[in-house]
Amino acid sequence: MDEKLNKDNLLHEDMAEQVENVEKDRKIADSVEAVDGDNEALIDKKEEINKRLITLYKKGAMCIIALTIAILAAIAWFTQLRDTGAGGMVVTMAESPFELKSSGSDGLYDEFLSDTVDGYENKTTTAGAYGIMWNLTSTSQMNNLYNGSGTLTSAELGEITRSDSEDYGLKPGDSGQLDFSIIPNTSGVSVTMTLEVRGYKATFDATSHKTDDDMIEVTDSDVNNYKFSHILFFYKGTDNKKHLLTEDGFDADNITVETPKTIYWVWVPTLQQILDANIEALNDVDASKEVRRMFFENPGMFLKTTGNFSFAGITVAHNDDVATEEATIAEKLDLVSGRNYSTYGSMYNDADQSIGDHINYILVELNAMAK
Amino acid sequence: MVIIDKSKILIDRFKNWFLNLRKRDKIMSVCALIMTIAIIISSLTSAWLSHQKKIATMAKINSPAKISLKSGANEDIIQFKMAGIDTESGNYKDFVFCVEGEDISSYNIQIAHTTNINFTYTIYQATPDEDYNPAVDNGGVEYITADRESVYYIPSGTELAGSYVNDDSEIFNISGNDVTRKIGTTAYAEPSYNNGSTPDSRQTYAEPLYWQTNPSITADGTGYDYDTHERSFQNYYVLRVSWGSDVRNDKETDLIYITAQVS
Repeated sequence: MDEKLNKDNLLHEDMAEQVENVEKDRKIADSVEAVDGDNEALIDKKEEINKRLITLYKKGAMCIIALTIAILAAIAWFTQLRDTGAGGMVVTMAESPFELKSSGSDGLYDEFLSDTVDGYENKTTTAGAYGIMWNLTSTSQMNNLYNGSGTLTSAELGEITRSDSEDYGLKPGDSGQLDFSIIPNTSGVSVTMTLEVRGYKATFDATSHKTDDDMIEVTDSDVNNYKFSHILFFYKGTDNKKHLLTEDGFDADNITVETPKTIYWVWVPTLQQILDANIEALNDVDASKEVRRMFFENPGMFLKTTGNFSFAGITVAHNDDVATEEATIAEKLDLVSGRNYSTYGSMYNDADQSIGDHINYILVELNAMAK
Repeated sequence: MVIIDKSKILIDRFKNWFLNLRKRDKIMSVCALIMTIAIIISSLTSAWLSHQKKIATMAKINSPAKISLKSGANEDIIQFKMAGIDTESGNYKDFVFCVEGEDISSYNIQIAHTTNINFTYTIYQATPDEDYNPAVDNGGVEYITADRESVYYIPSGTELAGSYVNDDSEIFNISGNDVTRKIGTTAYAEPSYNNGSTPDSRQTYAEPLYWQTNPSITADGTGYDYDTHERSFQNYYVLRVSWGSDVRNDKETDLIYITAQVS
């Protein structure tokens, strides 16, 4: 009986508990519903806020971008490279740490420079300018300095620029130099210089006179290779010896005073001079050997062939150890310089002919950059 | 259309990804985007501001002169033949050749020949005459082409102005008559291999005689107008080989070189 009562009591308690639980659940459910109702309202509010925030983000981002552009444009406009002359609010950027300078007279063909690239000014130094035309003297020129009496008339220039004129022009065998100076604006500036040579074709009328049409840049890769390998430029390094000027350029370090520099140019006339490492106009055996190494590393650049002719048999791989490379060249030298010379020599001359047939004018541009 | 559809899907995906980010992530990604754009713009402008200076000049490259010798009727030089000289009939024979080229203003013609046979060589400018009728006209020089056709040239009245550079003359007697004969001197000769130091051992008539036009010929010959001429030109010439009564058809041989050189 007691057990039964107990069980009943337990059951009763259970029931009560259960009822309590159910009521609790119902209350929770009600409150959840109420919360859900609140949540829904909240969610609606949140969505609204989110939407506003998103639009705000978008507007903010646009504003920041626009502001950045406006600031940079203002800086760029104020610090344009121009003469620090006249008054007004011209903010100049920090002055260029160096200037290039060349003294002398105008080149004959300077007026054609604007056919190629705009921006070369006719000044002595590059102060206030991005680039200047090279001023030439009797020793510093490329057969492009007028040496007649008086001033050159346009009729005379018309005769000089005829297609059959041999005056004031370059041909195989010519050589010379170009002088310039580096003027430091801050003490101890270091500069890297590279040289670029581009070929241009002019148009001539039926009576051999040059027309006024703009010249067209020559893009034929073979012709440009021949031009690059036959018309060579050299600089004097810190060892005061001539070195071949390659695409790597050359450096002038720690310039404290106005320093004159010279670029030597040669149009090597025959392959024999390269093979003998004796480019006569250069008068420097080591520099001639640099050219000979350049030839054996890439004979196809120097020689014009027809059809399929392979230079694999005479090509020498570049070797940072110069002595080793020279030894290999000595082994291959006879293949080119001996009884086969007439073949290779003619290929060199044909390449020269190709340069003359395709290129009427060359632009020689020295580009100097502060390190 | 496929591309547009696919890109729409991509854009939608991207939009969904972005909207599903937490707020913090959204802000961070937008800021990163703005900074990237600002850095790109500023680096482009600052590259323009770096310190670079240039100096440039322009030089002219001469056009290679093109000059070549041809036979008559614009035929290849290999068709040029000096055959059929019969010294028993008449006292001269003419041969036609041509100098052609482009981008040249003036040139020289040169002759070098040995003197085994007492021939005299002269050059005349010639003009082609297409209406020449051999039955009626005279004075024309016939040139037979490779196709066995005849083309006629009229030599001008005056010979080309020029001079020998190493001439000498000797007198020899033939059939009781004194005949003058030009021979070449050794003025421009290099030492011959036989003797070593002096060129004495060369046979007299094997020593070449050199002749060159003087003054240079302007391209396009007579009537040349420097301002209006054509860039390319083709000038015909007649080489006259003449002899006196002393020359016989004996089997002597001479060498003759004709050259044209840009002056």
